[in-house]
Amino acid sequence: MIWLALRQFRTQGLAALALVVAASAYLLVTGLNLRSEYAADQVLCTAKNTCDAMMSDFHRAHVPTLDLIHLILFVTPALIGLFWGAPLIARELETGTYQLAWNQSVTRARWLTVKLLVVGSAAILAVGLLSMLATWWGRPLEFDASDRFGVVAFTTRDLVPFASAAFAITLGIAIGALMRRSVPAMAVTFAVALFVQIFVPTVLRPHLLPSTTVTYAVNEQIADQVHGIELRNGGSEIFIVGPFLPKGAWVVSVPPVTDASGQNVSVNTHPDCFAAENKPAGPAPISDLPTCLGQYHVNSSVTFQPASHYWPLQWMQSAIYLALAALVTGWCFWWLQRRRV
Amino acid sequence: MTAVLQAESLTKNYGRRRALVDCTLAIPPGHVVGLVGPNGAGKSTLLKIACGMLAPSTGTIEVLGDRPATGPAQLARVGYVAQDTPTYSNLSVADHLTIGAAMNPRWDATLAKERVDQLDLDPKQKAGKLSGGQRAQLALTMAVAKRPELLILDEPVASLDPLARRSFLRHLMESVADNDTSVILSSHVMSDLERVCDYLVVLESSRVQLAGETEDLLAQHHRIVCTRRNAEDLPQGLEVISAEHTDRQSTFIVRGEPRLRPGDWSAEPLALEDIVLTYMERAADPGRRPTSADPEVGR
Amino acid sequence: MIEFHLDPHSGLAPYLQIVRQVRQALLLGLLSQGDQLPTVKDVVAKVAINPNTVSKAYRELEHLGLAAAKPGVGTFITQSLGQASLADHGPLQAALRDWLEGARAAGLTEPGIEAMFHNTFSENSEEE
Repeated sequence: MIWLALRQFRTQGLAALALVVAASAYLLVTGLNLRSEYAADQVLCTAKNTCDAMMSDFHRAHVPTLDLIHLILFVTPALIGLFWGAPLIARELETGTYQLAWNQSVTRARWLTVKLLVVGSAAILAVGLLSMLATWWGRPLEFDASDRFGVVAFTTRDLVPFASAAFAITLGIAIGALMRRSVPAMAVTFAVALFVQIFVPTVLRPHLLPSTTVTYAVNEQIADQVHGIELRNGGSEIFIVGPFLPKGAWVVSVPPVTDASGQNVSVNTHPDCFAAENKPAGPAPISDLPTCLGQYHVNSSVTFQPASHYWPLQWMQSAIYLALAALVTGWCFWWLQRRRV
Repeated sequence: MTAVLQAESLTKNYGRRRALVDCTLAIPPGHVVGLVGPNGAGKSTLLKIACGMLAPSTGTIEVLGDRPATGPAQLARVGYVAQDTPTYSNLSVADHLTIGAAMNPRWDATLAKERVDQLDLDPKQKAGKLSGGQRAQLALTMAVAKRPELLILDEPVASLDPLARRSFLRHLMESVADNDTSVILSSHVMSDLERVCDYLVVLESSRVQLAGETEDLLAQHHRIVCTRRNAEDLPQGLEVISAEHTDRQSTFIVRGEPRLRPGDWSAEPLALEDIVLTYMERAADPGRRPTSADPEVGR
Repeated sequence: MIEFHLDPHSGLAPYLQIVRQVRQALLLGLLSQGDQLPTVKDVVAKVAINPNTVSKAYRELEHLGLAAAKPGVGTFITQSLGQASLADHGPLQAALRDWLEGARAAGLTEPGIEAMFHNTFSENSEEE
């Protein structure tokens, strides 16, 4: 049975191996370059004392690549579910070869178990290896530990990618068994896997552990803690990030800045504080806005979880994926026993 | 001797569609059994249930004394070739034999190799590139080399040309002669079955219409041509299967003693195909069912 | 070695066709005493028929005293029926000629004679 499972997986396995080797080589080479560039830059900027600016430049130059790597890794489990999971049973049902397989002297349970283990192991290993390499690659760019908590970043580093791959592959197998046709199963698997991949970290994760919310007055006292001010929807919403935020914490949500009556503060409601934006001398220092708004009893708040929640959340999100994978695998074996083909 | 296939009131429903209704069979070992019936009569369903691909809705079935596909031991005793003889199109002939060897404890590698050589199959050829007849032979080799006690073949020659068909049957019979294997094979073409089968099961409208040794069936059925009369006027002990009347003549197909007592009729034996057709027509059109001269005549 | 063939439309049971073909081969001198008949496996490998049919035919030949099975070796012809035997049956042939004259005198036409012959022959064969 092992021979058959491996033989059937041979083409896909070899293709995957080629891709993994190529991707690993790329990550290794560029990662090493990144590190040497970083080291060289550090030497230079320490001498001239321009490290803040240098870090910004370094960041700006390389973070887009990291984002792309993360994005590719983010969809990889869904792709694996599509290409390896969906056709596993569906193809055999379509072509009728299940009748050949199920008449050999191995039980159906063993047949599925071996195929599942072969393909599942390959999927988990491939995704796991690449995510570990990607995490290593991105280390020099990790200035702020809170970057780890981003939806895409969190799902493609440490434990979660292993569990996510396990889920995607078992999901694909189950959908293939359910739909009995490879091509529709591939489409549905990709859609569902991607949906779950987005849903779990975005919607579920913030509720897994308790968050802390701090509401504070916006004035010159908090001005030096602010490290980001964002205007959205043409200036009708203002967001202030920074005050009361512990180092490396995960910003779960930041609502728009509101005045005493609860209305959103905007460039229109308090034009005098925003006039500075249009001064020909250029944008005002970041501490100006909070100081200006301080006269108007304006409030902001931030909901966050501390940096220490990182690993518990990794375990919990992985556990969710693994539980889903177990559920879906259980269904597959149940389906097999019912012989409803 | 345990029957190779024993079914009691076997029924299979797909939602509202009834594929098999109340089938009861006791097929003795050591025979080549023909399962005949029109398309959609339930032949494939019955065979799939027999080899464990499907579970019945109600009723019981035992194959070689065990419920189908209950474990590797039982699976090893039954060889199955599905309709359209599926094979792994990307795998070569040699790969298929390796699969057989790896997955079957009683695999006879010498036999498999001999057959492949005899059939002039290129071991390196991918199964998808073989002709229909060659694929069917490969599938048969896979089933036969497991050394099963029972071979179940679902319309194995339906899509083959006459040459390939004859070749397949020859190889099948050779295998039966060699290993004393029992065979259940389904077809809707009678001429193939007549040559090789010594036991017949007729399925029509999802029910078993007739089952028995071909010799007995041939001996027991007669065509009686006589002057116009009713079925009741025939002597006792004859089951009337079909009746046709013109102004002056009646033709009955009857089942009874192998030797008919002489009477005022002309009696002929029937060809197997005609017997089968008679039962199939009767089942398909119950309105034309004639009354039996003696309803208690056992089947 | 003798080769068998099956005529699906002959109306004669397959095993009887084989018996008849062996008989004819004996009459033609193609087979004689001591010759081995092909094994069941060899027969069905050439002619796609049920092995039981061949076994039954061979048993019938044994029953008729024409062949005998040697376990582990094969089935062998025990009797020759050469052309010469036809000549030995002169009285039989004369009786047949007399009967034919009687049948024509009784008014039977040729088809009628053939029908009577075939019917009686079939009945008689089955009783054997």
